[in-house]
Amino acid sequence: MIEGVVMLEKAARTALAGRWRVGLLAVGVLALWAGRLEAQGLAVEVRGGMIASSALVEDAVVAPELEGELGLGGRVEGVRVGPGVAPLVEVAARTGFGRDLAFEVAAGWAPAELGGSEAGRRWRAGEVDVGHAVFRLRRGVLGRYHVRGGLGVIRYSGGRAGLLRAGPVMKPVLEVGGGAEWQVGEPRVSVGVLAQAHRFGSGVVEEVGGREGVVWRVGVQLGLAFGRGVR
Amino acid sequence: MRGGVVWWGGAALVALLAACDSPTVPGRAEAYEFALETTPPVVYRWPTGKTIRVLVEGGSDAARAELLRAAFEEGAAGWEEAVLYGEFRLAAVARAEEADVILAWSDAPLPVEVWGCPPAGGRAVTTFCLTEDGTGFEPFPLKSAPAGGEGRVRMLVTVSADEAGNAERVRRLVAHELGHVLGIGRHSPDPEDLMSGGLPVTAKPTDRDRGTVQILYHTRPDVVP
Repeated sequence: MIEGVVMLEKAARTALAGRWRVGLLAVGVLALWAGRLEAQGLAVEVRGGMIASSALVEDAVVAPELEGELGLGGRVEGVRVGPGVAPLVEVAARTGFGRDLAFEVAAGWAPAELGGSEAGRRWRAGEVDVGHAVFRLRRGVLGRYHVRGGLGVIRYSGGRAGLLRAGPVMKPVLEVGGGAEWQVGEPRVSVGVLAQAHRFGSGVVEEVGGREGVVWRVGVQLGLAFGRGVR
Repeated sequence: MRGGVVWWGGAALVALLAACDSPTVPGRAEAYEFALETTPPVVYRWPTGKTIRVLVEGGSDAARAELLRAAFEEGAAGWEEAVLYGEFRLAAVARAEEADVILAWSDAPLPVEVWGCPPAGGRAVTTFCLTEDGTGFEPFPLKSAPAGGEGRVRMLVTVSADEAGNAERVRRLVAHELGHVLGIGRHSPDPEDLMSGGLPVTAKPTDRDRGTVQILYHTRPDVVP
């Protein structure tokens, strides 16, 4: 059965799948570009991975006294809305200073499906693009391992409907992470984890008296590292 | 030493963030009753996240057809903006076989049989019938369907052809009826609201209308179309 709406939904899913392809393409292009930066004395790392997030909003839906007035006792469910587990693409450039210490600049992008949930039921509440740019300090530990931490900005944008319809949201973000590298040839292979925390609120949330709160993101990454730098 | 300060500072910031709550929205404090006035009252609504497919049957007169289509588009946009998290979409479809709802002028030939659940009169009306056991909606059988092929139409919205000369009234009436389609089974006692019982004074959901539909779409329904 060919239905206009079904086609629209399919197009939306295709667009999301297309973002994955764009992400993979971006990793490839960045890997090529990394060689040029390497020539300028920087270490460059291209990473791909997955990232999960805590809720962007928790909505109580109805005031208890009104729930009673409306005769709905116990039938109204609280709501959580947030990005699903999403692919994460990131490129980072770093330069060493001091022993085992490096300064790193990184930019990442995660296209996610926005999901709503209430009492075990879930629905698709739109799409969201999450981009971040972070300045990090990175410290080598025990040879192949490192820990890192930094500050930056994170930006959420979405469609014309739903939680982000009032426009993109940009907030400061705090990040910590760590990982390891293996010299299995050139480039080197890395694995890592990262955790980010930032405040979030949107115009739509404010319209109904909502207030900002903290969102957590946790991700795992595989990377290719080019050039010399602190591992 | 320098590195130690950075890491301890980072740890302190993490601890500070951890002490904070998630982003929250408080419960709505303004809304009116929306359950059908049956005994006992029945809450009906579409499943959360559903795209509700509407066939706009504007008839053969191009101007009247365009008026009804434009009224639907505006009404649908107003209600979609009234919810926060994509709880529903209202989308126009071209064929009765694809439709959950039919919106038509009262004098337009309908693609469904209505003898089992005939629409009442009035400026505009939303018609649906619950099954005998009250657990679902009776389908409106498609005239074009082979025996047993009932289609998916569960609601019928008719707008009096007498209203076709007043575009503003049609916009308001259609937006109001879409509120009933979504599951608002009663009228607001406040005449300023889109879902008031009289002729609506607006084509846009008010704050109370918005609060009502926001609560409705997170209330466990008794019946799902």
